[in-house]
Amino acid sequence: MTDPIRLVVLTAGLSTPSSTRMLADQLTRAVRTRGEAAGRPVEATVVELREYAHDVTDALLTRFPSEKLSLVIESVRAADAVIAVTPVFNIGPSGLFKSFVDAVDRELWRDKPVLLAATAGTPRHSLAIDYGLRPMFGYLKAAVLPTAVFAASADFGAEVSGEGEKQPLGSRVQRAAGELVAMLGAREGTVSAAVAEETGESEDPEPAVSGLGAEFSDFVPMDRLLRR
Amino acid sequence: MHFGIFTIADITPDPTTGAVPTEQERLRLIVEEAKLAEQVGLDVFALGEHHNPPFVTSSPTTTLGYIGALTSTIILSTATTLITTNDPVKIAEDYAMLQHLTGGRVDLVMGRGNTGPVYPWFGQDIRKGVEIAIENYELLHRLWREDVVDWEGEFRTALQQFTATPRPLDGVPPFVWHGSIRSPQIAEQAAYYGDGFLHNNIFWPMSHTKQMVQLYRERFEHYGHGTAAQAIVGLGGQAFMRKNSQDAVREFRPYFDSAPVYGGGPSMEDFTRMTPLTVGSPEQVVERYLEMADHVGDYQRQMFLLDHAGLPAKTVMEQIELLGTEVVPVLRKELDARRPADVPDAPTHASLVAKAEAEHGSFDPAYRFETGDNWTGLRAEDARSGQQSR
Repeated sequence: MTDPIRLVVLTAGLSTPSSTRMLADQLTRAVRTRGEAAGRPVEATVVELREYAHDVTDALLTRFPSEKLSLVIESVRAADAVIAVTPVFNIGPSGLFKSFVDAVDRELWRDKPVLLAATAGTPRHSLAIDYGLRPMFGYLKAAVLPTAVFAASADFGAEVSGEGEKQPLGSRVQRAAGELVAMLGAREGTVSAAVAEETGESEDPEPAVSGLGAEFSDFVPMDRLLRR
Repeated sequence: MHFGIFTIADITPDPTTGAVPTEQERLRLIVEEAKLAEQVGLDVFALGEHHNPPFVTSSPTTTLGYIGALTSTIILSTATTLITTNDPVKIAEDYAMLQHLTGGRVDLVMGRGNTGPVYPWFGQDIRKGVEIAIENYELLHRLWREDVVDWEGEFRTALQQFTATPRPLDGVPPFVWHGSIRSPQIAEQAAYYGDGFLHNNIFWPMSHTKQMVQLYRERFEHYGHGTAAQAIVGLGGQAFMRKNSQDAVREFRPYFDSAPVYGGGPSMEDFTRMTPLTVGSPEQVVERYLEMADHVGDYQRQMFLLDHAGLPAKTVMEQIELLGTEVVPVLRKELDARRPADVPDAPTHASLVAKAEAEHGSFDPAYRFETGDNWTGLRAEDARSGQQSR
């Protein structure tokens, strides 16, 4: 039995229920099915960002997260993968989604597998993920999946009972879920060694500093700072 | 233990009246704050440094020198000195001047500064902020300890045969604290030199402050300056007090709600729960700040911010009076009582001189440089080695 996949699903829809949440659930189900088929059960945590809207704003203003928002940040940090779903507003990700990303530490996303998805009223916004979200997560050095999933309102009606996988939205969801599970399978056991090699941690004779949270991961000992 | 106040010298409209002090009024208030702080028994007055409006503190040593002449016991400090955009040579000169003129009543808190454009205005690159802070301080540290410095680095022009004047008073440089909110490298830097570490935790939750202080303490011990418990720690603090706590809450709320930094964000209730800001009676402030040592260990300096967000001069003076007469005497008694004998008290010029004398013997203050037409030479190059160990 392999370790479960810890999946955090961020959904930035503003209404309840929202089509953004529907897409998030559809993606989560697909990842769960694919994961189980690959022998990896999925532990999914769904985060409705609207419930943290005030905390996000406060964090932007005070520069530190509330206890409530800290729990979300820590769950993203601990996650093996993140599904991020936002509505498209005014040709970009929703302000709530962007604000959440702005409010948290950049290092949170480094090397994190991220499945991007978005919803909009019409298919004319279908490139929003590629010009609005993918560059941002590229900057954040996340491991963004090749397939992103966009759903216009009409896509939710195109599914024919029993033939979901043949429909455009269903097939995109399946392809993205497949890519995510495949990426996690390929990374298992190899990523930690590669990261250690890249940062030189395996050669570092410095003693570990105890009791330090992950937010201090950029600690560098003084002899290296002074380049001695 | 040292208790004091610090100001960032902001000019903020009073949200209840719209009144805005002039730059001169604000500067004169700062001077009055420092004088009153000394009168009510506080140990430290610290002044920030900013190079943009709405602040009036571009030249801290000017203000501190003026205050130094009007006071006699209070320690003059900074909050913070920008180690990134100031030339370390000028810091060495300016603060050694201040140290001599005030009879050693000077220490400094180093900081990188958080105003982006200040870096390019002073010809630096903000992306290299940490590297600049490391290199500049290394140079400053040498300038105060070696009579003649040959030096080459990345961020300022090289020095050959340079002597920073005046030499530190009694051969003992001003004590340095390194201030940082979230950069572990700066805690590491403080530990490496055996300097103090000051966490201005007024805008941060204690869980975070605690980790930064713990890192500093462990590394202080790692570098052989003493045990982790003996490291020199300072904290920032913030309070608004009235005899009756409900009066404090009512009076301070409009200032809180529109204050720079957190105004428009969390409620005052949430913010006071998450950070050390305490709004209430002097007894409540005492109670809150007695807990700090439980989180960070026995520490040496507690600073308070009392004069920001547009609070009127009269109110600010009342706050300093309450702090000095009702809060600090209790905190001082309790915190001094709980500190173990082997944990040092806050460093002063006198304590640093005593330590240096114990290690190197007494200092000879006789002028040891050429006094003729030579601009920098030592009287005897060979005599230099004897001075380098300081």
